[in-house]
Amino acid sequence: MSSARPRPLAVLASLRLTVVLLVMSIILVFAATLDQVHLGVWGVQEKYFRSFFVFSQIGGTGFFFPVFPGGTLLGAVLIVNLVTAHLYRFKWSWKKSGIWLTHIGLILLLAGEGLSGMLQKDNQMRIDVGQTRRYSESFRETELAVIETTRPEYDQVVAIPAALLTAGGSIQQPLLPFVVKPVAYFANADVRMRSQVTNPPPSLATAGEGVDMVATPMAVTTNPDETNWPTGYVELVGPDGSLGTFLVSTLLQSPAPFTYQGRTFRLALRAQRDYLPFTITLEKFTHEIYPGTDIPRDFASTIRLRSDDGRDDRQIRIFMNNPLRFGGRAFYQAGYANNDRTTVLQVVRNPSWQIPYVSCALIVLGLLVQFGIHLFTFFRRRLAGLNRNQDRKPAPAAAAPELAVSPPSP
Amino acid sequence: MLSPSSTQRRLVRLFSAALCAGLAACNDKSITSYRVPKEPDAAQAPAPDAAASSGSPAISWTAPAGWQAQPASGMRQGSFLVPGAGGATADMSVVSFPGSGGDDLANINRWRAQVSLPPLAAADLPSQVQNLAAPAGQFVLADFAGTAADKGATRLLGAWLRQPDRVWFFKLMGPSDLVESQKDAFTGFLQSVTLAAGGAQVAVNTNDLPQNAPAVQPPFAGPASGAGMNSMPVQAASGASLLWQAPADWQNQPGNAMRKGSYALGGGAEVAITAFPGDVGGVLANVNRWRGQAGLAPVDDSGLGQATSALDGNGLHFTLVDAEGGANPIVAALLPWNGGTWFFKLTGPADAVTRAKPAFLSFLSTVHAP
Repeated sequence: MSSARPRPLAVLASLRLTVVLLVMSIILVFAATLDQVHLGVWGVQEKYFRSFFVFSQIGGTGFFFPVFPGGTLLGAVLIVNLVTAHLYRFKWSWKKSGIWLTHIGLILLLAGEGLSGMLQKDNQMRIDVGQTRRYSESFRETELAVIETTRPEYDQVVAIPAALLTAGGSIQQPLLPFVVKPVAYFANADVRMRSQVTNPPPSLATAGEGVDMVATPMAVTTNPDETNWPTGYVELVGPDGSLGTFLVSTLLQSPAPFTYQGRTFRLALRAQRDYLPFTITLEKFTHEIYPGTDIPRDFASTIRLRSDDGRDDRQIRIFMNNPLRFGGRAFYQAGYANNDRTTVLQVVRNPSWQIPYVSCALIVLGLLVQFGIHLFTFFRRRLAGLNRNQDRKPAPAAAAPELAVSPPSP
Repeated sequence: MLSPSSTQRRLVRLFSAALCAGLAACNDKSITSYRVPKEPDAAQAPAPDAAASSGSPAISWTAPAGWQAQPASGMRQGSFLVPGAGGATADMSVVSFPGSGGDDLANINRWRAQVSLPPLAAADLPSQVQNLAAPAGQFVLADFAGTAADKGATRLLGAWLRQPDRVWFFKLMGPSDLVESQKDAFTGFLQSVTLAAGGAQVAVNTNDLPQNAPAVQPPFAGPASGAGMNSMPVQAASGASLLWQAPADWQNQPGNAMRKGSYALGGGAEVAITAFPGDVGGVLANVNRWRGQAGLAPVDDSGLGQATSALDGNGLHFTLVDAEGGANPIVAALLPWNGGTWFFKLTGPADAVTRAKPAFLSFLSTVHAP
């Protein structure tokens, strides 16, 4: 080690750090696997892997403190460790070009997983037979959509992520003539008509159909067979004062419109949408089972894809393990519902989906190059050794045995 | 080992800075805006039940000219935007609920509150409503003028139509002048209402979940929707469900987010099973809540022993509350289990509750942990 090396960088570049990080990763995966019973697969991913720290609650209090580094932090430090070690410990030479390629492949693999975590969007599309859709919906994320329906040609949508409703503070958007003030937000709630509830509490809502309803906060469920129904109250405030406080809930699929300054709006709390530059029409859904059982043999969606630019108008069959890749998204056949009249497609958008393929190709290429160089060096040395032996020995009476392998040309 | 050159040091710093910037940029929580083509069906989720989309609606009507139909919602069977002069609009809704839908006085006072009018006494009720004979049946009409928050003079025209097991509510609400001008149209709308034969059995789009759960998660499924779980503590699941064996003649009813089970027992009696986290106020508070619903006086700690009895079975300890003496008899059981509290409640007309009580008690003995 050189004494001139700055100490923090020496730690970052050390092999010990690599080992510690790998051991911590194993512990993290083990703990997350055990906790999956309580949190479900999505909850575990968010808490353990897509986080910088794993937080734990101090018993009986509302305080959370970090107890272990999360997957994002471990992965990031691992990349830094690998790159730093490379820049410090390795010197570029043709002899080590294979190692360089392999390590670049590894770094790319780690970075690709990080990018997937950040950029990948998993949505779903539910389409009835004969129905046409041009958007997919998030499995988990919710948004408050303020939809202006004034114009006959189109709807103007302002989509506010639900995370902003929990953050507090007013939300302003240039397209809206009012400010949206979150009043309350529940990740899960039950909404009932006021007349159905005995001794209902006073409503926070002062406008819209929510005046007649009662929202009761519920514990968030992580059971994949159960559903959370995000619900909230938002107040709209214009220059002349409040327009009222509205109840918004994913249980209200199409809330009543209201008018303000001659413009018509709707407020909808809904699954976050990703609008597509094309439409998909479900023409037919096929669901075959093995005779005498309920085990699915094949389920497939025959869809018609029409792009807005008119370039594509074709019929496509999406079935198990045969997704449609179009417009930067992959559409997988994921499920069915409603007595086989509704198909459920999983829509995956991952701009970095090719990185793992490139990484693996680089790793394979690097290993081939490195082993090739070693092989080449080995043969050259062996040939040189044989030649030296021949020079030292007196001329044999018989002819020297021939080499099994001819030397490679330089 | 080689000592790092200044170029190498610069590369390390550059890489670290790029990584930090990349990680900082990953939190995409921004507001977006876009235009979308109008999609009349886009706002509606796929119909969850066969009856709703079989082309035989339980109710139909003829809307007056000028009323703009809006997509039906989870609560609404029908929805209209009624435009008036100067950009004013009124809102017309058609809503249906199973059961009695609350008593007349409660409904009237709920509507009066919406136009900032004081509640009526029961004695004043007959003078405030009118009857309207129509092909669909006998409607009860109400007409209230008052004010709504920040909307000035507001008028509400309401009507309901009772069926044996269902109530339909019709409400037109908006600026006074506009609603006044639409009064005849509203009455004409009610006259045009027809209910399909057997309409009471047709599944209606309420907030109840469909009986037949879909083969996949519904559109909004998933844990901790919305808030972004990085920014909020992950709550523990409420735990597994208790199991039970319901008598064969109990009809399973659609559950909802709060109900774990619901059964119709005949004669109007109903069993509802709910579960909540924590102790939900404790035994005394819940006993008195039920006694209040049943029309009985509350008890204090000393009277709790008389008002309740213990019921043990399958390692579970129920607190049984028998509130049959009141106007709305209730037999209920409370069960603390797995960090939460489960409620089993039998309600209905007095004779039906009395008949169903033995079956309810034997049903409780079938409840067990998974």
